[in-house]
Amino acid sequence: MAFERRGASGVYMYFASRDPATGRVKKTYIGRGPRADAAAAALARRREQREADRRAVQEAQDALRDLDALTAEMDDAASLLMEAVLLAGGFHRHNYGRWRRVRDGHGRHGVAALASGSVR
Amino acid sequence: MATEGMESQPSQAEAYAEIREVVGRAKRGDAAAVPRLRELLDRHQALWVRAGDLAAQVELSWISLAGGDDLHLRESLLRYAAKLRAELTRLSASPVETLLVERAVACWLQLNYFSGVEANALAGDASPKMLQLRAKRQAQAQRMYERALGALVTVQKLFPAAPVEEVVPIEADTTVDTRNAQDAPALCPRADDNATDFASDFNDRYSPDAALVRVKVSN
Repeated sequence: MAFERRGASGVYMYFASRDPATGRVKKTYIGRGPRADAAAAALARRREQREADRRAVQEAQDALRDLDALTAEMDDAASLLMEAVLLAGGFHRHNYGRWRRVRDGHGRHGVAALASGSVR
Repeated sequence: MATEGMESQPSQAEAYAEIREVVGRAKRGDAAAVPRLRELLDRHQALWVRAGDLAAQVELSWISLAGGDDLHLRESLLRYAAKLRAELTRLSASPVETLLVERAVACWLQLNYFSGVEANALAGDASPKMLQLRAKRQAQAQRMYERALGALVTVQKLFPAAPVEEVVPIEADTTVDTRNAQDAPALCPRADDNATDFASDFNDRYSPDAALVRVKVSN
């Protein structure tokens, strides 16, 4: 919704909305005077509210940014060390499936299978 | 000290980078990477301490954030976190298991915070955008907590607990704290253990072919 200059006589308020059926923007004439001023004030209030909401969300995100980074670092370190220990312990994981013991087809598994050099 | 000597050459970031690279090779099927990985884990034992400290810092930060100025809530969260940690940790917990427990506790605290915040946002006059953000963060925290628990269960399942000869009744005064107590079972290496102990202990414990060590737990 905005004031638009039409012709030489001045600005008029139009309400723009998209028609869901056709997808086209349709403008409804509001005019000018007290009714148009009230509509413009309501529009400004709504914009301010939207901006305040956006700022509040941004602040909430900023407030958690450091802690999120710390949590992500801890999560990453724990995941990496867990994977390292499991791989070192003779386990493997295929395509994000379950961790399983490495087997070489000769009855050897885990570290023994890896040591035999016949796996993979 | 042996620990200092071992950790002095490459920085911890470099150690992580190297482990990450070797883990990547091992995941791609390079069998030669596995012995190297074992060597790296033996050499950089301080990584466990660093990761444990990080987890503790994360826990305290979430508790501070959730508790704010409310000291009672803060104390309650601290106690619940300690209870959860005790429930999840086995007596013969390895460093990786201890770390995964710490992560699960930290993730629980995070989830608890976002659940509370979301409940407050619903009760208050938060904007739809804010509600959307809170719901998204709560769902993320839930997924992270589930993943942390899943990883812990995997490790506990794949590395069975060492059998305990004597079962100690669970009482406040007799519970063995495997993380802090000086007289904790030998199967739980701590930061101040020397490198040789850690290396041999690691090889014993993480080898699926190794015989289980019997641990005697006493008061």
